[in-house]
Amino acid sequence: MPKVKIPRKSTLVDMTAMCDVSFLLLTFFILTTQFKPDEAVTVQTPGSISKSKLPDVDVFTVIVDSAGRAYFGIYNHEVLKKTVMSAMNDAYDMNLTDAEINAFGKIGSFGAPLSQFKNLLNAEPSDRKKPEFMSGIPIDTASNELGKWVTNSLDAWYIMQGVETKKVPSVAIKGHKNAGYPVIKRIIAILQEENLNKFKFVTELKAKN
Amino acid sequence: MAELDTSGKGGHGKGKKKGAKKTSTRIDLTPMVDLAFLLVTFFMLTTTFSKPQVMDIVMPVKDKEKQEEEQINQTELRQSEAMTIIIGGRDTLIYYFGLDTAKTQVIGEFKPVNKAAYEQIRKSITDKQNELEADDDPKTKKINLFVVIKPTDNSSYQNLVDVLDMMNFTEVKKYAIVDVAESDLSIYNNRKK
Repeated sequence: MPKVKIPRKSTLVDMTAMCDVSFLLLTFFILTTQFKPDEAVTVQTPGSISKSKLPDVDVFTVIVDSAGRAYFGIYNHEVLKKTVMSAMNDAYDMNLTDAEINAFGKIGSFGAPLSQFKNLLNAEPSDRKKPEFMSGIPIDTASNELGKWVTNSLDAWYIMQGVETKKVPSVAIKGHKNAGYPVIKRIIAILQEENLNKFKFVTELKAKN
Repeated sequence: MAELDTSGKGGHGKGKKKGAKKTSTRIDLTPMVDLAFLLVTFFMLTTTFSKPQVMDIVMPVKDKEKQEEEQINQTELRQSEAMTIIIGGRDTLIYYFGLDTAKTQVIGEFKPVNKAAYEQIRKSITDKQNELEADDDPKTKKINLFVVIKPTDNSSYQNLVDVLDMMNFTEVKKYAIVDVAESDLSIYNNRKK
């Protein structure tokens, strides 16, 4: 029997259309992207039907994980962070170098006590989640370091905004749903000492049923 | 895969006039597509589309000088408009209206999965709201429900947010998070089990 000859077709496909699509997508993503903030811990927040959104700027974040450890973060504002760090450096004799203060500008949120801070800033970014840097910021009355952070951040923020400002920064409290209420209560008390009385509890979207 | 120069023999064909060598203008775009998709993947994974959703909480301003004074003349609440929710440990909460602690309702499993518990407390709140709204007495008219939320030290953050969410859902305009007093704790501890 004679062999049936299958005509050979080129396997080449015209890539132009695909290229168009992929660059269209790429452009879209480049323009809409907002990088995920570098968070010290990922927490599972409780659900709510609330519709308000967290603003991009003028926000301080306090994260509480399931074990009740507190983390503090300032996102999207490197200059502010450096100012805060140098203020903290001066106030609590941390002996940080300029390079270390600059390194702090790159950190989103952190949970290291002040005693570990020099080590944290010198650590490689991949080492910053080691247990000794993740013990949480002390919030007890004896060494209220979170309060110190909030005070200095607020001072720096007000200096940057100018004296005339009527704006008040908002504080997002991002608590893990299994966190106990006493920790949240303590954090609210610390913030209220700094005259911050409006909070934003970060929640997940829940269907209204 | 290179597709360049597919008509390369043009210059040497028989019977054809000698002319400039024709090269194809087609370029293989595969590597470019590869690169583009690599970048798309990168941006897709690093991007945050939606901003986090938040629940706004306003706490009363604590004026340190006035605090002592305030303890004497704290804002009084009409019994008829008050509702107290005490959040205890292990997803348990109790609630009562006014000072009517005899009619305290106990809710066990107050968890997002337990729809019945949600429905029960939601119904109590809306019933009370309707009752207040239907009130025709000019003296007590326009009274809105005021919910006092008292989380005990054993309660979890989840329970607190759920209760606050309930306030949003039932459109309770006035509510406050208040520290528990001894008397509240004894009510909680004496609850029906």
